[in-house]
Amino acid sequence: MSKILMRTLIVTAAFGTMFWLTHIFELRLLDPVYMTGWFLAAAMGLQLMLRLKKRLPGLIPGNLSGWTERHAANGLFAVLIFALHTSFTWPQTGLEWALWGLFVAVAASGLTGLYLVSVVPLRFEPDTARETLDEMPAERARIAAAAVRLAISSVEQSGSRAIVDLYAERLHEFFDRPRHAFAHLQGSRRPLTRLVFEIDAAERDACAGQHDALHELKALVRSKYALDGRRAQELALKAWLFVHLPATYALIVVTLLHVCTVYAFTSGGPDVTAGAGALSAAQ
Amino acid sequence: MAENTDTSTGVKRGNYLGGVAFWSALLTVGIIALALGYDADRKGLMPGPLTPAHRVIADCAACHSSVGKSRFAWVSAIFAKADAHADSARCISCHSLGDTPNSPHGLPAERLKKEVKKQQTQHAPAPDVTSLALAANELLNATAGAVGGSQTSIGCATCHGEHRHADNPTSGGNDRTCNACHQAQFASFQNGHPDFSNNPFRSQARMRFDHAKHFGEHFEKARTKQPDLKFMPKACTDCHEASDNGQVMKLKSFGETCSSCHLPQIVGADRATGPKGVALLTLPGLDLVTLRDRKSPIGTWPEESEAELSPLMRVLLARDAKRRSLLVAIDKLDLLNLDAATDTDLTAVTGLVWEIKELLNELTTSKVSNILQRIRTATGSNIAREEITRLLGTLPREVLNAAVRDWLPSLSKEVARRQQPGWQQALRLKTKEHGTTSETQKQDKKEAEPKPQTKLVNNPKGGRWYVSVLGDIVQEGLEPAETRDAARGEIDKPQKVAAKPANKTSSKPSNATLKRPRNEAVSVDDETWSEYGGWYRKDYAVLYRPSGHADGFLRAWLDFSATARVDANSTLLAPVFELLTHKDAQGRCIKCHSIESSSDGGMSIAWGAASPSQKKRPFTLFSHAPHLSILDKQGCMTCHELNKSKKPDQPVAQSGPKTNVSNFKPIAKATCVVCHSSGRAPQDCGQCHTYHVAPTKPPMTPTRLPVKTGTKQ
Repeated sequence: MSKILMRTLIVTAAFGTMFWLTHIFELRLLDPVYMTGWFLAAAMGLQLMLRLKKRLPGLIPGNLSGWTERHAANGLFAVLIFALHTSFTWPQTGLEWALWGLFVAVAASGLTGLYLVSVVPLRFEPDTARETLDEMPAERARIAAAAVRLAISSVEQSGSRAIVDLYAERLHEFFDRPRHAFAHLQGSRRPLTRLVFEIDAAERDACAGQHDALHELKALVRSKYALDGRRAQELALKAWLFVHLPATYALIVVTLLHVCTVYAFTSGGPDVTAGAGALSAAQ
Repeated sequence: MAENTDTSTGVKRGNYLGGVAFWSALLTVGIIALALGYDADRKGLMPGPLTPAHRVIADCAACHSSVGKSRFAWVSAIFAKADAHADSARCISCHSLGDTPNSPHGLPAERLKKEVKKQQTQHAPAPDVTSLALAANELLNATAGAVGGSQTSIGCATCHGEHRHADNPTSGGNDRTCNACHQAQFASFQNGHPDFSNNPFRSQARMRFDHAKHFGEHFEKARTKQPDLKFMPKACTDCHEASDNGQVMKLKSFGETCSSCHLPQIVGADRATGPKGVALLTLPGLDLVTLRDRKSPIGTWPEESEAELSPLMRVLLARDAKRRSLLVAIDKLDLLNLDAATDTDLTAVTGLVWEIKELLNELTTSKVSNILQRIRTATGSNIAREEITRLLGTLPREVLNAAVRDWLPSLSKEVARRQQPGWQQALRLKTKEHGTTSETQKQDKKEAEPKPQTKLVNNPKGGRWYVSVLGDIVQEGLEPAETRDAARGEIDKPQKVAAKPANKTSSKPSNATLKRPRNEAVSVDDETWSEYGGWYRKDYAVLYRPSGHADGFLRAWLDFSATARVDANSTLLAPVFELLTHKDAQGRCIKCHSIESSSDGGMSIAWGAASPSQKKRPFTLFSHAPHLSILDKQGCMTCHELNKSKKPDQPVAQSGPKTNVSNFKPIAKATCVVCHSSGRAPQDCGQCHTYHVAPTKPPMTPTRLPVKTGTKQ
């Protein structure tokens, strides 16, 4: 907690300094947009260090988790400078909208990723084996096949179709494909509770030979629900990057164009030596 | 598919993410290339829309000096050295801002220096460091030295951010840009702005009007004395009204306000003693006994005159240095008592007499342009003919002729005689019968015959109608020769002299004692007859009676004598100025109109109430209009509080301009801060102050007149 507080204080202090510098620049007839623009470019460049660290781990010193933390803090700082650079106003032309839209996409996806990265891993059950996304369909198929076998064998053993009917009417869709992704991202267990409630209801009317089978079925439902949860969370952890990274690359391109146009069309920038110099000359 | 692992989550993922990112970047480049190719006028590159007035400009190069005209020329400008002043020059090609457009406030260095000194005198720098940024800036200035150096130029883009303020095209700098140069830095109007000094009365009021006395005394008296008075103000708006642009509360016209009480003072209706008009020409009274005894050759001169030499006439007499010296010598003498005068003094008096006679002769026999030349040579002023028209107030020739005929009937002959040898003997005063009579006059008397009265006859040949010296209307060609000659000033009409008053010291002769050839049954004198103003003759003076407010004659002489009295003409024009600015002067102009110091070191008369010109750009602007609707019952007195202890200065005479003290209390900053403070009405510098104060002229297009084909140009 103290680490987060420290980072927040650093970002706030840095932004305060920037804000104060804009006033100083204006007081000296300098256009602060140039200053905030280059600070923003520097902050964006620093963000790329995380990507470089991942691609070329040996080239960049420090560990990856440290760079990830710096990436998050610097990202927040960049968002604040961006607001300062744009004077908290909406874009007005095509190029500005492109810059603004891409920056907002990068920032929003980054913040989403920051949230997911800090929240989702905590939900993983520590002792559960964690399949990769590629292994999950096979595991889901294995659980589904076990459930079918259990339903068929219950008919043979007890002569009752109750479990088969329960599977066909209520559980077939559940075992057939990944389900309840949104509920999993919310951390909700309501779908699981509903399914378990229905199995419990069937158990009350079941004959003595079917109780064990229903208990096994209940365990398979829990396994499938956990598997779906892990899949939803893994996808979430990965999906934001599919917005964040391409938008970042596009933003770099548009930013380069922006810098080129600014310096091509600048009116000489502020006259650094005008202001007080003019008056001192007059005095 | 190759895989890598995200150690933060432990999730493995394929490197197709990098591929997506790469293709995304490539797609962006493609989109940009397409957009730039399609965007012929490069509007897509603009950081914001142009201000409405600039939207007609299609070419970026019209304003951006470093950018070429072709579609991709801007690429080469990326690394070009930008020139703020080259860009500013393009702004100024349309926005004329005077001769020094890029200097601070657009002012030349000298003027800027003066303004800085003035500000430093009036508002000693007292930085109110309530702003951290201001404090830091102060610190930076102190440690790093002056920000500038020797440059005195500020590019337009320093304050005006085109493409950034589309909603407010004139939007320029903000309070911080003002603080960049001004030494007295402060955070806001509420916090740190220097208090006003004697606002708004730093310059004297143009109109001398004692509000307190009028409210408390004059209006009440007038109401009691004249209950049926046409105009009696009951509210401020009875005399003041907002100007068309709402900037000032201007004074209503004299006719609408002051005239009901003050017009009689101007036209002299309430003047109990003294002439009601201003004397232009006079025959000064002389000690003729001494002049006769000392055999001074002055020719004919009326003995009854006790008039003084008119200051206005002095201007007409002082043609050159010699004559100016003559007037100076005369000033030391008592012309009515020359007992102790030396021969030199008498020579000066004789010289004056002949100067007067020559002037009168010239006035009656030559053109008005000669008078213009006389004033020009006397004052060294290159006055225009329009001005001479006002200075002479369209003086009728007949008034002059009649005056000369009655005062000096042998004038033309005497002047002619003076050119001949032995004139001193001939023109010496000899007798004491009715006035003084010279030899010439005696001869004239013998020759004098009653003139036949001419009749108005229709001339079949046609001819110019004119008024003869006898007062008849005659047609050229049909009049008797004597009448024609007299009308043209070629002969002198014999003076029919009235009896000398029994008691010489009783009084000056009235007009009735002088010859009045026609219309004997006059029941009022000329002065009374001229109650609505104009020229008239009284005793030995030709006078002008003011016709009303803003009388052109008085105004012309006041302006002329005020502006010209600073140099060598001061001795000549100062008496005129003193005559017309005296508290009892005819017209009473200076009773209300202030005398101000003019820019050339002289003086000027403030003829109109304050009315800021639309073209002027003062540093500080206040507009009444936005404030009028929010006032409560106190109305104008919310800000303008009467200060009964102070009264406007009395009219000045000789001492020159004075600071006219208003009898309203100065408006303090605190009055404005009641509304213009944080969270209420705006208080940024631009609310009251103007940056571009230099006079400007709109740029003109050199449009040639369409000429016919084949015409040589």
